[in-house]
Amino acid sequence: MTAALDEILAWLDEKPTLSRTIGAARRIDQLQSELGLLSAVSVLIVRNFTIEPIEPLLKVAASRVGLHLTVSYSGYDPGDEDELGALLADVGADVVFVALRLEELAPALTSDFLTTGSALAAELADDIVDRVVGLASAVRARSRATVLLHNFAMPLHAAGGLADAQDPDGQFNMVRRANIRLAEQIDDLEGAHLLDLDQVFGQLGLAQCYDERGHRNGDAPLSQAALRALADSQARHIRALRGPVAKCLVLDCDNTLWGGVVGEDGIAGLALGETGDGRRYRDFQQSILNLRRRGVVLAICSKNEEADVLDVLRKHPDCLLGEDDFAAKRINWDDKASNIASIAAELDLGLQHFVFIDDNPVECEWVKGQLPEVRVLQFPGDLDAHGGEIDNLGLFDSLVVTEEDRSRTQMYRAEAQRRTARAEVADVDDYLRSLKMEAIVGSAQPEHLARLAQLTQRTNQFNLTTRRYDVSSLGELVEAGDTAAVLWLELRDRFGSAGVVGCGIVRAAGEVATIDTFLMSCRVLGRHVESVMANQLARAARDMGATVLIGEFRPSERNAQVADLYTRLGFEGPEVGAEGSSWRWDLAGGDPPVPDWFEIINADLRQEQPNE
Amino acid sequence: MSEDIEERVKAILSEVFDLPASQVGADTSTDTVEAWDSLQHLSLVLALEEEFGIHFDDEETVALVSFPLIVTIVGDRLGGS
Repeated sequence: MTAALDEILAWLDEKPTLSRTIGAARRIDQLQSELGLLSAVSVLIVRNFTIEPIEPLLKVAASRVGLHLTVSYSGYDPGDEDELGALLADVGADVVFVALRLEELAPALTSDFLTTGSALAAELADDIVDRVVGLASAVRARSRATVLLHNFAMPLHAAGGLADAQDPDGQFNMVRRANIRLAEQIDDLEGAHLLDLDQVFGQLGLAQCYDERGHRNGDAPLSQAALRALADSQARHIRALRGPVAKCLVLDCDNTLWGGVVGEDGIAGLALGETGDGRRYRDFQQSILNLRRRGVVLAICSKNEEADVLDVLRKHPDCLLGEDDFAAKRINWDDKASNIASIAAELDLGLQHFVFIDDNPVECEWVKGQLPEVRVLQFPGDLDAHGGEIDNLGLFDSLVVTEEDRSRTQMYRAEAQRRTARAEVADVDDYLRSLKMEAIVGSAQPEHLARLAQLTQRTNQFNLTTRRYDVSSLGELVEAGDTAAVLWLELRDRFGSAGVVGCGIVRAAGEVATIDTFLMSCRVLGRHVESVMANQLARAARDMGATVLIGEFRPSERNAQVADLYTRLGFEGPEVGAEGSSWRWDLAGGDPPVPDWFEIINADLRQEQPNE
Repeated sequence: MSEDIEERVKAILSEVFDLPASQVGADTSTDTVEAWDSLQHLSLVLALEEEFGIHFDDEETVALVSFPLIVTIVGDRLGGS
C-alpha cells in the first residue's frame, strides 16, 4: 500500500473515533482521485432504512484490503423493479448489497407478531423471503453486479416472551426459518451470495447493535458498533469476490503448533491436549485443519531435527494435524526465509500468496525483511488481536468452496509421488506415458462455473491473456452458445485426478475465431496438456463455423513462460500488436496435434449418451 | 475548561463537515454549513458523545445546531456531572 494511505490509517488507528473515521474516509477519497492506486468498486446499497452513516466506516475498511468504494443508495422503498433497473444503469454498480430490515418489511412479523398469529406469520414470512430473493434476481437480470444479500438479524426481544423459545412456529424460529430459506434460494441464484448479518450481529452482541434514539429521530436504527461490524464484514465479502487471496499457510512448530520445544521436552513434555495450556494449541490446530479442508495448502518450516517433528505428527495422541496434512516440509537448521522461498518454488506458488506464522519475533522480523510479499503473523499476539481466530483475519476468505479446494493437499501429495516416479524413469516421454493420463474435456455446465471463474481469477503464470471472469460473466458466455465456447479440462492419471486444471474460451465472429482465454493450473505444467486444450479449442471453433483460429498473448507481470506458447504449438506468427502478439491456425489444415500419451475423453458426448 | 471544550468541538466539526478548524466560530451552524444536513447531524451527535463520553437526550440532540450551542450544552453536561 502507499505511504500516504498508511499515514491516514495510522492517524485513524491512533484514535479510532467516528470524527476521525469521517475525516479518514474523505482523505482516502482525495488520495484515490489524485493517484487512483486502489482497485475501484462501485457499490449500490438497496435498503429500507437509513444506512448512510456506514459509508465512512465502509470506505476505511475497504481501503485496508486494497479497495476504493463509491457508494450509492436505493430509495427507502426499493420494491419497484423498474426504478431499481434505472438506478443500476445510473450507478454502474459492481456489487449490490441488499440490506432490508424485517422490522420495516413487515411489522406484523416483529413487534406485532402476537396479533398476526403463527399461521398467517408463516405465510407472510414466505412472502417476504420471495420478495427479497425477487429483488436479488431482478438485480441479476438487469445488471452484471454481484449481489450480496444480507439475511435477517434476530429480534432483540420476542413479542411472546420466554414462551416463544419452545414454540416451533414462534417469532424467533420464524426468523431462523426465513434465513434458512434465504440461504437455499440464494445458493441457486448465480452471482448472488449471502452475508450472514445475523451472525455478524450475534458475534458483536445484539444488545450492542441498536440505537433507539437514531431510530426515532432519523430512521437510523443501527448503532455505530453494529455499522462498524457490518462494514468490516461487507469489505471482507467484496475482497473475497475480487481481491487477493492467500493460498499457502507456513507454520512453525515449537510453541506454535504445540507448547514447548520437542527437541528438549520430548513428545511427552509438550503442551497439547484437551485441557490447560495445551488446549489453545489443540484449538489452533483445529482452525488450521479447517483451513486445509477449505483448500488452504499447509507447509511446515521449523528449526528442528526432522525425526522429532515427524514423531509428534505421527504419534502424539492430541496432535490433530498429521504428516499428510502438509504439502511441503522444511525441518532443518537453514534460515526460514530461504526455506519459505524454496517451499514456494516447490509448490509453484507466488510468495504473495503466503502467510507465515511463528512465535519467535526474531524469525518473524527476518522473514518480513527478506520476503516482504509474505504476510507474517506472530503467534499468538497477532491472532489474539483478532479474537484468537486466524479466520478472522480474512486472509483465506472465499465465498465458494469447490471440490478442488477440498482435495487440494491430496493433489499436491500426488504431485510429489509423480516426482518420485519421474526420478525413476530416465526418458521424459516414457515417464509421461507411464502416467496413463486421461484428459477429460467438456463444455462448461452451470456446476463448472465456480471452479472456472476461480481459475481465471487465480491463475497468473500459465495464462495467455489474464482475463478475469466471475461466475455470472462466464454464465453469460455459456448462454451466448453459438458465438462462444467455454471449455473445461480435467486431468487424471494413475495417481489420481488433478481436478479441473484448465479453462479455454473461444469466441467466434463469422470465419474467424479468437481464443479469449487459455489457462492451465501450474500443477500440471510440463505434461503438454496444453496441446489438448489447443486441440479442443480448435474443434470448438470449427463447430461454430470458423475457418481461422487466432491465439493471443497479452503480457502480464507473471506470464512470460507462455510468451511463445503458440509458436511451440505450431501456430503461425507472431504478429505484434499494441496489447500483445497474435498467432493464427488454419483450421482447414486440421487441428493442433496432441502427444500420444493422452487419452482424450469428451465429456459432452458422455453426457448425451448415458447408456454407453 | 471551556477553551478545551471549544477546541475539541472545533476539531470534530472540522472533521465531520470538512471545514478548516480556524474557520469554525460563532456563526458556524446548520444555516451556514451546507454539509450539515439531518444525516450528518446524526453522525455529529454520535461523534460528540464519543469525544466527551456523554449521552444526549432527544431534546439536546435537536438543539445541537450551532458551534456556540454545542459548546454551551456540552459545557452544561460536563459541569453538571
